[in-house]
Amino acid sequence: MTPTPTLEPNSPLHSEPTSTGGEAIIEIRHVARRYDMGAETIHALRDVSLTIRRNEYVAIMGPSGSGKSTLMNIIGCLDTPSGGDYYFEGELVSKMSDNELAQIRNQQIGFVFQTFNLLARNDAVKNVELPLVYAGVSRQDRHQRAVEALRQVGLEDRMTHKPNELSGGQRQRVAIARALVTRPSIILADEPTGNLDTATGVDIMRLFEDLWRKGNTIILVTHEEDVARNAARIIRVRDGKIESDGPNPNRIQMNTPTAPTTP
Amino acid sequence: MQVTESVRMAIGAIRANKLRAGLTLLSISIGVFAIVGVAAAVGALTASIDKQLESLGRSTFIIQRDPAFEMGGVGDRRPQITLRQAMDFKNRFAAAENVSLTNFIGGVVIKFEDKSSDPTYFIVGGDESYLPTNDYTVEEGRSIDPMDIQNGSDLVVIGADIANKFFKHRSALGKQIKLNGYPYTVIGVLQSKGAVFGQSQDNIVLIPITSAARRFFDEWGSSVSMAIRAPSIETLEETMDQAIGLMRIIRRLDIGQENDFEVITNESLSETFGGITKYVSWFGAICGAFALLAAGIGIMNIMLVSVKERTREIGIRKAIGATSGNILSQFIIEAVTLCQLGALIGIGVGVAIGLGVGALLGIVAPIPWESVGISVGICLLIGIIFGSFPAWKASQLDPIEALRYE
Ligand SMILES: Nc1ncnc2c1ncn2[C@@H]1O[C@H](COP(=O)(O)OP(=O)(O)OP(=O)(O)O)[C@@H](O)[C@H]1O
Ligand SMILES: [Mg+2]
Repeated sequence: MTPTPTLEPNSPLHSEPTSTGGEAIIEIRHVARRYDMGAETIHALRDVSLTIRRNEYVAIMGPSGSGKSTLMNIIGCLDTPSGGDYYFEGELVSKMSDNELAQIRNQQIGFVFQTFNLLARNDAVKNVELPLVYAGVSRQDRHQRAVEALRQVGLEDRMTHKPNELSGGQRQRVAIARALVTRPSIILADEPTGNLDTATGVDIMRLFEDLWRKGNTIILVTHEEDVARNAARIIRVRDGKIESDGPNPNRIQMNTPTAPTTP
Repeated sequence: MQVTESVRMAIGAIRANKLRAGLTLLSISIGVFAIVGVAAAVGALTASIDKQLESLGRSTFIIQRDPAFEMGGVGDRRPQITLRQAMDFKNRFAAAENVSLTNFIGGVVIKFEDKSSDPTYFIVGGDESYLPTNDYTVEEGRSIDPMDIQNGSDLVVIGADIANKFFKHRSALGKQIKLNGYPYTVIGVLQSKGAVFGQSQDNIVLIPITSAARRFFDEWGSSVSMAIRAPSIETLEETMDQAIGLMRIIRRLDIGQENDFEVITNESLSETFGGITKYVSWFGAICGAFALLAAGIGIMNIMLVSVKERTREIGIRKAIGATSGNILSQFIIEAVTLCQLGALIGIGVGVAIGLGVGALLGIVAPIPWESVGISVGICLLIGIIFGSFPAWKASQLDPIEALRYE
């Protein structure tokens, strides 16, 4: 049951970024997450340990209810563990104040949700601008950077559309642009293709691949083998425990027409 | 995050929930309107009354039995100023440039041939200076002269409305009308003066005060009022002292006994009136404050509903980096913005009412800045006080719980 956090996760392929050289940004040590439901206690996570380095591409897999989202929320500083330690860039998260956590969520982490979680009232640009509002970026810069992020996900012609005027795939692109706009070190995506058809899902996965090549760290939750296949490392979770953690033997390099040449 | 950004967000949220915001705005507006509207209307009235008092002339004062605004019924215990006393005063008082005697008789029926009015008319018993003092001009015929007063003749001068009512296309001059059954001959018709505050000024019926005393005083127990004009503003005080002295002699008051009559000057009038309007303004302010308190509770409810409805939005904002403080200030600012929008509407309508009343009175009404300031202040407080609890609840939401919320 002991996971192998020291395991070198990724065997480097030619022309792909490697994770071996990157410093550890996420270090989870014996983390547990319990929910007290009156009579019984639900163990969503029990004794999970793992390390993720800069510019890794990790897929977290597992059956429904296994604790993937719980783990993701803890990594994303949205939730705090009931036991164990979580170091984010070497700092103990449980010691951080609410405001420090908010700042990490704002600056270091870009979260992409299965259900997009866009603000219905705001158009695409305004949605993408939102994290910058909380980062205290000036109005003008905000707009510029939001436009840039939308261009990056190929939505420059849908900027003034509200979420309900966009397709599911387009909405998810807006959400990804929002996650990117603060130039975070990590992109967390919890079932980003869960609400999309296969073809659109492939588009979104291409986007992630592209981002990874540009140096982003990507952690995504999925229960679809097809989706996980793009990742370089796969962590399997079951019953709140890590079942296996290692490089993806079946990795498929996506053909990414939008990707610029990598070093 | 800057306040302007929060205000922008707040306006966005308000626009997204027009009906709900509208209802809240309405309740706030009503409260503010009560404060500002009453103050504005009172301001207009005060300005108008000041202007009318001004037209009386600064060197004129009035002696009458009752205070101008009676609060306790002092007048009832005082003997009337009879026409005899008033005439006596007028004859003996040399210090004045002019003494004009007046008396009002209410509830009079006017009748001409077979046409009869409701018993709602006022008769003015006056003398030759009544018309010039009150800015009336004779259009046809003549005014009352000192001879008519001396003789106590049953003659009448009528306003334009009355002339129209009874003598549509013919001349009223020389015709005989009946006032409560007593025959009076029309000797003059006045030029129309129009209406003040919806009240026609052309329903006037003027008869010599001596005739009024003979015909109506017994029945109506009337008391005469005397408008006394001092030769100049400088001599006003002196003239007043002398007038009071003479009145005391005529009324046979002993030394040490209080005056049993009122001396009213423009200044004392506007002071008294100012006192009353202060009460009215305060009354408006208190009503408004209660309305705003109710509105505040409404705001709190609406904000609570809004927080509940926007749980997911709050979760999203927190997930992408909003601090609890950001959320707290966002919702407080939203409540304050809502309140201030309501205040703006209330102030707008209130000031418009003031200007409207002013226009009816023929003056430019002053804007009641004090009340405007008070309203804005109260609304700010209400927004903060009643917005705080919902905003605090919003800020304390757990991001994950909030994101799960359906
Ligand atoms: N707020 C909560 N209160 C109580 N139990 C919870 C709560 N959140 C999660 N759980 C429980 O924790 C366990 C793990 O949930 P989690 O959402 O992490 O699963 P998951 O792996 O993401 O599943 P899925 O693939 O269906 O999204 C589940 O048994 C769930 O019922
Ligand atoms: Mg999940």
